[in-house]
Amino acid sequence: MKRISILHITILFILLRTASVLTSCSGGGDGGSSFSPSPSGTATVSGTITYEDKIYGSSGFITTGTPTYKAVRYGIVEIVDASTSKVLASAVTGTDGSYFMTFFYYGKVVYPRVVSEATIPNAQPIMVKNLSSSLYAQAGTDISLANQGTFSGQNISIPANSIGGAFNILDVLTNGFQFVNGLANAYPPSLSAYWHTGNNLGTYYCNGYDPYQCINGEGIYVLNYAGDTDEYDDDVLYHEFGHFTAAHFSQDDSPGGQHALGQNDLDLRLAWSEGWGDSMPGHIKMWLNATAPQQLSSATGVPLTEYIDTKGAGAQIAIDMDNPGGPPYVYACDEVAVAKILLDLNISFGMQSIWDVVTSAAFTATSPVNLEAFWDAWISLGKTISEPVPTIFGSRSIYYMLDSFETDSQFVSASTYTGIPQNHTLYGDVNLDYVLFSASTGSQYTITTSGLTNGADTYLTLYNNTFNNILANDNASGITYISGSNYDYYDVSGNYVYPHNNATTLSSSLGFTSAATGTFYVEIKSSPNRPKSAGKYGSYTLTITSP
Amino acid sequence: MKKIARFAPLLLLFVLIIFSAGGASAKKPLPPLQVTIALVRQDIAPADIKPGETVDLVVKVVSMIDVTDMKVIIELTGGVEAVSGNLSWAGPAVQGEEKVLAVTVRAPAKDHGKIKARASVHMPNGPHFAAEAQLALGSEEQVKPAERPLIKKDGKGRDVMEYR
Repeated sequence: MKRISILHITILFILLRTASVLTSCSGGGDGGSSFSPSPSGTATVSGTITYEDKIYGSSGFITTGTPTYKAVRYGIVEIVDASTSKVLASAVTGTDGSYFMTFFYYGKVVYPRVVSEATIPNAQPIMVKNLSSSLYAQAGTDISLANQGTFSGQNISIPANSIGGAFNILDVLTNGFQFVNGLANAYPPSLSAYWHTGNNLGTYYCNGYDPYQCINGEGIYVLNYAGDTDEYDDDVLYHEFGHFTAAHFSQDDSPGGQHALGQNDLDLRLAWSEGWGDSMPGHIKMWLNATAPQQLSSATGVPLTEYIDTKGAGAQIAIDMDNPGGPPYVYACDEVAVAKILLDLNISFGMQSIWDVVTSAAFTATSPVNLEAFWDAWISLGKTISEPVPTIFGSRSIYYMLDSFETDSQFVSASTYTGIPQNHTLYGDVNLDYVLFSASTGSQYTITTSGLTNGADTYLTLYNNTFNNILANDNASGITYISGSNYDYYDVSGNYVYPHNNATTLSSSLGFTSAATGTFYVEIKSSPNRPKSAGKYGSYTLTITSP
Repeated sequence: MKKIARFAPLLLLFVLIIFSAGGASAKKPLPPLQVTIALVRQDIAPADIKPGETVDLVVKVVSMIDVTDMKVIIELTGGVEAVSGNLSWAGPAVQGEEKVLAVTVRAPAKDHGKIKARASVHMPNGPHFAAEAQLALGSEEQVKPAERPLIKKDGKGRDVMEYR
């Protein structure tokens, strides 16, 4: 009985002591004004956590001037027992990076440290880890709790040449979370970024596990490639965050793979997905400029829509996505063109309009999602299609509209071929174009579609004057694209194989010798065999020649 | 053997799950320039080149877009000396065109050296792109490994790499 009583007393002591730690008052500077410091038997530690940021411009990082330090917002700060490494208390920093916490004092040497995890109130955590899933932490200086009391000024400054990059990634993703919350009235799910030097895989977003590149499952992987690191490339990080938002709030059918800026013959799904990502830095930075300009890391005078990717001291990419110039940044199969359209729509109608479309069932239930699906959803949600919308799309040579030969979607309303090549669009519900021409007995004719743009894939059918089908052709090359056979697979380098949306690959051609003099009809439609990479819309030129 | 046959479907299923598990990666955009440096002799590795040895190199630059003013600069560092060939080039390039610069260099008398080729395009009032490649001659400099941070547990029992 006596033994039990001693045990009870011991347990009670431990519980009281634990409760003292667990109920320690802590928090960020924003909420700390009503706190009464140093109650009896406790120590209070406070300070500010900052990380060294890197300011960048079109030529790379700006290394002159005083280093810029930014607050570590919503970061987890812990008080650690220096002798046992036990965590005694923790707090979350405020928006100014400040923290304070009180904990049971028992005469040890402790130190504060900040962990690479941010928890915005009411949001799931954002974490930055290495590939072994360890968080990064920066420790502050030791504090000797020889005397109870208040220990203010326990600041931690995280330099760029140490793990400042981890905290920049955290800060950029925090901006992204707040941006999304402003649009969706909800934060995204928890997000992990994997920053690991000494790797050589590059920077990318994974929507799930694979054994080669996505070994930790979903997340943004910030791994260097040939000396190119991205932990301070905010635009690259926002780009990948854009993919994350598409995966969780919208729909993304992109097959992935390598893509270079200026390639305007991409798979439409890839161009949409990457264009969405390319526009995201501009969307977020325009929003930051209006709401929290101190969060921007681009130098004064650099356009908010400029996408900059540094390598070493210089920039390997510096392109204003809203002012990229003309070709090659045209067509729905060009990611820069898609980005420019989205930025222009944002400037004209606000980001909420775009967000409403990309998160609507009209868009997400469509397969495949690409710029065409966005346009269809934009219309179905009743968004403006009058100016400046046609100009915005037209500036990128994208014409989701009836052409000048409409209405030519029936035999009886076929346009007449007069010897001059005709420029058509595949657009509208019926999506058929009919062109008639006169042929002479014994003469040879060649009918071709050429100059395909915006993902067009044509299919030609020739009819005689009694509307009987004479000939048909899908692809002039004679190649039929069969999923998994000659396209729609990944090669040994992991690149997606598809017929590129250039002027000729998916064009059609028919040659015939007329058996009689009379009228013939050419039907042009979007190919019923079109690969997933192509579109149902697009533009083409019809030519009928006779030697 | 029978046992293996019995478990073969399960093994196959496991392999299929491992290699078909859903992750797809969305990579960041690349600049529309590609640069490579290679030794003409393919039977020798750059690390095997002896001090003072003369080697022929080929620098290839491909532009994936039409450009009117592309610049290519080859930098030699660490005592690598140019023997022959042009170390720079500037001019237009059409989409897919490959520019080839053939140079002969002498490896440094001791230690190692590097050859870096950088291609850049700066369109007036337009985008700026750059890409580079480098090749080390001789054995690589031994870099002192960075001090490893301590691995500790955070308040939730997770691993943290603690830097001081």
